[in-house]
Amino acid sequence: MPHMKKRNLCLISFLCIILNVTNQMAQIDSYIGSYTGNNKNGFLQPVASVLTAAFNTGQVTHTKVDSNFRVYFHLIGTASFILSDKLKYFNATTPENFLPAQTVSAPTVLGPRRSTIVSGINGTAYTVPAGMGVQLLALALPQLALSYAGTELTARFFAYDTKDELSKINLLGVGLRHDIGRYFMKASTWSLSVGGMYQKTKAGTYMDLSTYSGAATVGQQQKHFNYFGQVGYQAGSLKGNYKHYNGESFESVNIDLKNDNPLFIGAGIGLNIGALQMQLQASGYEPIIGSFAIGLKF
Amino acid sequence: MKYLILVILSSMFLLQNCNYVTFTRHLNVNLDDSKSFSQSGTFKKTYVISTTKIINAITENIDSKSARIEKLEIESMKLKVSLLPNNTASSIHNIHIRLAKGWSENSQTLVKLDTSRIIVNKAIIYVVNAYLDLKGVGVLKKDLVKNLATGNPQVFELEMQGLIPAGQTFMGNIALELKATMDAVTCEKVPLGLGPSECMVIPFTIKL
Repeated sequence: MPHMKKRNLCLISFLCIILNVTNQMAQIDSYIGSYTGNNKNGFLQPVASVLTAAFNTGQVTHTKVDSNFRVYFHLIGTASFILSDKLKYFNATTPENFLPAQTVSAPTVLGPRRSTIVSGINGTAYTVPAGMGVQLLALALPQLALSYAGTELTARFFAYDTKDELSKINLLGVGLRHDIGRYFMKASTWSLSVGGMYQKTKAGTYMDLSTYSGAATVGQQQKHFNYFGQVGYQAGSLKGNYKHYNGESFESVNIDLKNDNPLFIGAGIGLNIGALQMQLQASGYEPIIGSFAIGLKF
Repeated sequence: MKYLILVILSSMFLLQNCNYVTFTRHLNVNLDDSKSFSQSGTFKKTYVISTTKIINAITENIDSKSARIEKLEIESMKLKVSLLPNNTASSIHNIHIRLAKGWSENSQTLVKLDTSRIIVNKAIIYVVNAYLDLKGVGVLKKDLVKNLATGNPQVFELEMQGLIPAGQTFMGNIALELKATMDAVTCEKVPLGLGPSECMVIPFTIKL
């Protein structure tokens, strides 16, 4: 009998993921794999939105794009707070042929850890599965940036082989930001830049996430402090494959989801002490994400 | 590079944490059996279902050492009809399925289609939820839960009776499929983000 025990979870803490590739979190397959019906997309939709927003937060680590050649290296940690009902609940419908047909509010995969039972005729019942009760989702990402002449090239890269069923985890991100304020706000501490980033993350067959973002950043850069606001657009696509053992054979479940939070709004504040840089950033609003970046400027 | 590794390892330590929380996983199991027919007139067929599939699903999908099974439900019952080329029957009447050997209430009705008939002139799947007997479903759920609590698989028999109209021969198969669902509640160690500790590792139990 094939054993599926102790599969890495890691869709949910994903890069914690990077940090949490042990077998502790267990069996995402059995959570998602049993969701073979018409409620699958509603159950998983918030994950696509949360991951898209999380990967797009913290990309800008300083307000002004340098004119001289500079190299930045940052480690960026983000925490996505699962607060709104939209992320925790969705409208689940009973399966075809279940009588009477009903629609109920049920937990998403990020929602409460309690299932919902819908009573049918003659003692039948449909159970809408429980969520995982995620309160926050943590990521940690490395980022390298090269700046010159008001243009900044940003890259994110990570590769790790867990040597188990999760297999390889890969992250590749490429971004570009240009200081357009330099053309009409010369000799000002204020800065206006526009940029975008593409990121691709794969974790075995469990997660294939592509995110795109484009945003305008406006703020002020002082010698030791900087702050900025951001507004832009984001898109994300999440695909994955999960298995569920039904007592006789494995059922395969495929997911293909898009984010439903295209508006990206963020604000950040940073501190520079010599080569050391620290920054706090928040974005929203569904989900609300906080990030902390620490890095070096050369 | 060493500094970076140190930062990552420190973050791992912080994120790993040592909280234990309760997870509720959903399991779907189809309890089924199929019988071939070469039948005219009244018939009686005995179907056999086993809790082996439920126990396999539990042990394969979760760490059953710390699992508690709750909310065992019957979502649907289906009759799947397939035909052989030499079938001449167009319908089956008075289908009556009873709980037989293995159940606590032998001969309790589970399904009764005595005022209806199923058409068998093509391969088809009938969902018979509307013809289930409330008491029969209750006995079925109670006995499955009782058996799961023992951890040892058991076979149960379901007896199907029916009538093929005179002059017709039903040549084919009827598969009976009961979709059972349940929640497996486990207590697991989790990293930061899944809340404060709320449980201790508990033994495998069944809760009605």
